[in-house]
Amino acid sequence: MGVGLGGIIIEQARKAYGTVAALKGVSLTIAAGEFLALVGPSGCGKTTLMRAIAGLETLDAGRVIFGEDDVTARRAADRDVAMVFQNYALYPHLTVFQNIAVPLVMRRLNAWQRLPVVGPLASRQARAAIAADVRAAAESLAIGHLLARKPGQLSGGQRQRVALGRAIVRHPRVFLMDEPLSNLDASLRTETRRELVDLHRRVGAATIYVTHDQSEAMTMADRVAVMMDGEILQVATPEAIYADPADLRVAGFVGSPRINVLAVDSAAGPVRVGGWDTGLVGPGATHYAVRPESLVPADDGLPVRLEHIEFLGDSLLLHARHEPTGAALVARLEPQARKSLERGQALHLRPLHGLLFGADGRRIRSVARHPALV
Amino acid sequence: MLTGPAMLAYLAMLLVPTLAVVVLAFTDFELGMPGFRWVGFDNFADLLTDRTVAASVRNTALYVAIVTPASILAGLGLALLIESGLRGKIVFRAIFFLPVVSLMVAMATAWQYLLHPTIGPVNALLRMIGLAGPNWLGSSDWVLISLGAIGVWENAGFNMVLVLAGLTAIPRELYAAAEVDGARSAVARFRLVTWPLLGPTMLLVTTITTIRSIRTFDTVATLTQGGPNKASEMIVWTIYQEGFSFLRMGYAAALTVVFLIVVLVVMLVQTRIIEKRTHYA
Amino acid sequence: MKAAPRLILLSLLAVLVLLPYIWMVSVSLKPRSEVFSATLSLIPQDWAAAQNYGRVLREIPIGRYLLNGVFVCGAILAFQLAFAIPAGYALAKLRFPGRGALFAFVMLGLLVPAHVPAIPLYIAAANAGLLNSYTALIAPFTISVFGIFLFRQFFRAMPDELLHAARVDGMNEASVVLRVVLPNAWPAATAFAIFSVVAHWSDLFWPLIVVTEGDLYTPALGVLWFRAEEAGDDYGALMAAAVMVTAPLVIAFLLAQRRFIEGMTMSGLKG
Repeated sequence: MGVGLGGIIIEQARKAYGTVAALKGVSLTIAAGEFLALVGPSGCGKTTLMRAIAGLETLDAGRVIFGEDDVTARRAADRDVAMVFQNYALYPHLTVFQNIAVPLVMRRLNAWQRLPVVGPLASRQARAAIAADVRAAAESLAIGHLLARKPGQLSGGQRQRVALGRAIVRHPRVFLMDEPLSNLDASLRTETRRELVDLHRRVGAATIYVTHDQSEAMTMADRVAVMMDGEILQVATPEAIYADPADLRVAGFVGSPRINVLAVDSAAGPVRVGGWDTGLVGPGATHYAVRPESLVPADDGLPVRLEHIEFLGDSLLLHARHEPTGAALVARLEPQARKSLERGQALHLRPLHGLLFGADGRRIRSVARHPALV
Repeated sequence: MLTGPAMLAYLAMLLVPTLAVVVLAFTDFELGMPGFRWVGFDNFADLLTDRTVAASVRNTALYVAIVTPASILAGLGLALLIESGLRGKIVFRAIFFLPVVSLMVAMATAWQYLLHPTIGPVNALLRMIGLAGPNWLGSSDWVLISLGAIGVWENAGFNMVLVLAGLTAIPRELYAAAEVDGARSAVARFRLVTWPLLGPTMLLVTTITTIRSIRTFDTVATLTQGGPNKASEMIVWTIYQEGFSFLRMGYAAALTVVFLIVVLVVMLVQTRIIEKRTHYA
Repeated sequence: MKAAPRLILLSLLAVLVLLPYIWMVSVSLKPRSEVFSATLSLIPQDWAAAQNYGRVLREIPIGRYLLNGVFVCGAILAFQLAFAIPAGYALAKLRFPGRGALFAFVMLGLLVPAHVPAIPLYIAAANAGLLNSYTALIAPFTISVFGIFLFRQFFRAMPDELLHAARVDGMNEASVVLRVVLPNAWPAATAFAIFSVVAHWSDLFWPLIVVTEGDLYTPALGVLWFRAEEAGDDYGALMAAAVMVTAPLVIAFLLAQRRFIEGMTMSGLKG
């Protein structure tokens, strides 16, 4: 067993704060060099999990293993992790150079060598090596020219690079990022996304990236772990998360606009929604979900009345009401379709591809009755 | 306008009297004596040769030198102790802060009993372990130290509260970052995060405690009246004696001016140091 | 730090700090013979509370002194608020020429310790025949530069829109101050009130100078006088008096800790 030296294994992690369970038996495996996005709504436990991996929280039960080392009992300082915090957590009284140097100073110099005046005298060589490493890290992030400044004099994007520099300078085994983009302007965010992925490739360490923004997770990660209410609902590639969700909550969390969910008429027999036969069979199915881009206007399908049309330039969003059940639906169409549609119109939307979920939210793999119907 | 009454009060109660003090310092005014003359810098010259004033200045300096660092360290220590755990914060904070809201004259009297050489518990305790406790408030060797101890007792809680405010302003994330960066021990985290970020607070605390110590009056007036043998003579008490017991107001005014200058210098030094260090986020 | 050692250490220090209080109460309950026996026991063998407290209540008008304290501190606070709130508001929100200079000028007052104006104020009071009067006790403290500073900072932080909305609704300046400004000044006012009351309840210097008649003694003076003139070596009664004058503020503090600490921390800014 094991994931090679660079991987991470979390086994049945449990953590409760008083009566509130933040982690309810979470297990996760991350391969060496993998970029895993840990995504979920606020309060789902992703930050708790990340802090537990970092060693900033102790688990009530379960293990954390880096490669072949069980680090569960070790504190953060002994785990060889690096972390980028949401608000960067830069030391305001130190220069950029000193900030990036801190992890190296803490680990390579002992307490005597760190004393204010005498320390530097006793550790010339070590400090020169540290300076070289700091400069290299700073150059690689294009902040080499800011080394003498203090965090208070930097912009948000620059501060983030300093935080990254402090994290990579040690060549850590595990790299953790806690919503690093949430404090940046929208325009800066998309640009920085790419840079972070590039950085990850350069650094090569297993990386866990925590975010509540599903588009970040989907665009950046090798695999995505969707977490809700202290449990991991699904870990898979972005494509699989999107097209093949294991849980109704996962389906609802990923994808914008949200996936359309309709109630199934009866849990037995062929799946019908508001009387219309979906062409699928799935025993125990209570919900039928279909993505907005999977709905097309047709002669046959779900009968809806158009309530609102949104023109986005590259696409058209139709907000409609499913007449039989009263459910609200959103469909995404080509922009040209605008010409033939108007508010209040009644039409049919046919789902090209639908997903079935049971009463507990779990995915029910459907069987198409008549391939020709689907 | 709205500021009218305040301005009037300011002029009448603060500005004019302060200017008057400076003017008085150059006269030989004595309340109750008819007329007065300008004496130039004579008062100040007399201050320099006056034994009592010399003792006063020396004692005040000594007192400040004892009480300021001791009560700052006490305040810092108490604040760190309270913040480092989870339980009892409110209770302990209240207890240590009690001296600040207590009537000093009354508490000084309580201390007098505690430190009483024959019937006081402190010496009784010392006697039990075989030591002969000195006459804490009645011996010229010990009186300043005793007053100093009371001063630390008085100021520690106040400083503690200021440091607590400074501690809570430090972002928690920095400690997490320090931990991840490898700062294993509490000492390492203190050096990396706590102490540097407490800088402005500690400066404030130092200035405040210094000025409060210089202004000590209640304990001296209640317990020792400057004695024995001027061993606990302190600046504000001397001003009081000269001005309101001996009624030599010109002379007392001169001493007041000196007192004012010292306080101003302390505040000036603080502002300078703050200006130099205000370059962080 | 681990839980147990921390609690132990804190408890020991707490006992150290509480020593004067504990003994003060203990002695106030003991008869003379026990007080002079230099015992270390806190619980009196003979209950002498009635004697000690009785003596205090009979011989010194402690009730009067406490009332004086309340009256003087209350009056000082009232005037301070009456002067500082409008001034702070004007300096913060109203625009008039010379505002900046006026503010700087007033702030100079922060540099001057309270003892400095004492001598000339005394001379003025003596010449005006105002010694031994409530006026003398109250007047010098009616100006609180710190109060002006505090309220100015507070009002600066108040959004202008609130005041604009009031003016648009038709209120004149006076109404704006009374109906909008004052109610919103409450938190700053309470913190300031605490700071002011604590400072003046304990004040010894000025009352000592201007008051020689027993009727007007503030609590601090009352204790001092009792100690010097009457108590002699009756520590029991002396401590009883001390307990009675210290109790009010201590109890108020224990009931409203947060507010107290807020108020006193603010005085830290004053320096």
